[in-house]
Amino acid sequence: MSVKKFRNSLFESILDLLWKQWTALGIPGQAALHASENILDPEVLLVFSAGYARYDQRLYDLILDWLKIHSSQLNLQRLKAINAKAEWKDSASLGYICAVIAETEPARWKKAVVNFSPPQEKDAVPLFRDRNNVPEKYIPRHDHLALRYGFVRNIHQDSAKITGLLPPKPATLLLQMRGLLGISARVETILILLTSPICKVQDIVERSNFTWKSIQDVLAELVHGGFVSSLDSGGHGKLYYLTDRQKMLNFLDLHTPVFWNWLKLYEAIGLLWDACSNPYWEKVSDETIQNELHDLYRKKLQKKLLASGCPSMAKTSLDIREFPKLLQKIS
Amino acid sequence: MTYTLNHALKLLNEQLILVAAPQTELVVCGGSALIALSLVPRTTQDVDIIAMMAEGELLDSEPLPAYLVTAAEKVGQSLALPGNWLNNGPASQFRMGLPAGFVERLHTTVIGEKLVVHYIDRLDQIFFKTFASVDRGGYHVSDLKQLAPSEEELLAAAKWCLTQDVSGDFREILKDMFKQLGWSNVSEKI
Repeated sequence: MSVKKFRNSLFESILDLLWKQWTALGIPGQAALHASENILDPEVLLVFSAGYARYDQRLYDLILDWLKIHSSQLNLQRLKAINAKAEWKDSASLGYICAVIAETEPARWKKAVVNFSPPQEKDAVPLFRDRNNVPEKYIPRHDHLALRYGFVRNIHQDSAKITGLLPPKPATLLLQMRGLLGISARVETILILLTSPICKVQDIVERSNFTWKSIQDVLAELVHGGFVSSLDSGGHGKLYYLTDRQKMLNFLDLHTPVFWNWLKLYEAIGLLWDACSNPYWEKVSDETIQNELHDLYRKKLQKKLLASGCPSMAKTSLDIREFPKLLQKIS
Repeated sequence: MTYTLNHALKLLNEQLILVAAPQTELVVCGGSALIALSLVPRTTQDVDIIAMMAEGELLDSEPLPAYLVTAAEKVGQSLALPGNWLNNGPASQFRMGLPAGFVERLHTTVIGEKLVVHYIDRLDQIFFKTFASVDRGGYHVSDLKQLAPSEEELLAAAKWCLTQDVSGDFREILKDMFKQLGWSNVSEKI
């Protein structure tokens, strides 16, 4: 397979995945009905989309419209932590997104804007680009807010295509549970315990991107309330599990929910995309590209994919050329 | 709720059956027409009605018939669709004038007993996307590129656009847009 063909197929798969996931969260995209039990992670999805949706303005603007309606259900502290931790991100674009939302929900989001300060010293660059990373050329009227954040784009107009109702779970379960329990580490902690048989504090910290103290406090309260039980792992800290997992599943009307470490998966996707975007790759033989891909997989991607928990990706060996096809199967 | 356009239209047809509505024919442009003809793979599913049709004649879709609005509201509620999922936003384009041959190029889909949808053709998408690109840029430009128009098609689109806005300024902006987008040959011929 030529690098160009592989890159195109990867590009399509990534955008398809983003459209599917945002559609599952409530943008009116073209997405087939599916019976996935995947729980989506809105902050992780937003951090990745802030960068990758710059390849698709329609999606980018629908995300802005979605945030205008649902931003109150996002955890800004967590967004900040994930963005700080993420190996593939676009902080400047995320800053602009926060600035747009701050216009409708100023109290919370203005602080977030400060966290992703724009590159003041640089000239403004086009916000959108095509799949070959060629910046958008024709921009008839410039959006002043975007200019303040270092981007040139056309004037953003609300599509009025987003409803206040969230689509049904499990995709939206995290957001729905925040409606029930509030925006805190409690929701992520419960979801991680619900989808893993047993966890250490560190496991939950890793996957939730909350601080050790936040998770420890939440676990102490959940144990006190009898929802979570703990046992000693013999000098390696306590192990935690839901006291009655089935009861919790019944309460949430779920069967086999899955809550992957989406951050790891998206980091792997982003790193692979960056590698394929190296223009020099088109000048070398398939054999060299195979070697580069194998090297990238061994050094960086494998660990992330294993940590993601995505069954088709979390393998000890994976033919990276199959990656776009595997992405297509994720919903 | 995630949904497919066909499912929403099927339910709309059934709502029309329930109220014994007249045979309803919609001429649709926008995202759903791009999807229906597989021209752009990722877009929104709103049904933008540019005109109604009866006995082969195009009719103004402003205002939409009350029975259709009620039926669309019911479907919208059951599928949790945005309030404007079926809208006549592009109706003004019908009044401004459509490209020659527009009706003959329509792609007709019978949804059911009461509902027929006519999707606009790729060439007409090129005409409309060219016009929208001049003013708004953004994803209209991406769509236009994805439609992969030939020089002849772009030139025809440009000529039609110039009938929509006859100002000298518009001509210059149109020429400039084609030039910036790498269609200098077309720009020079306008």
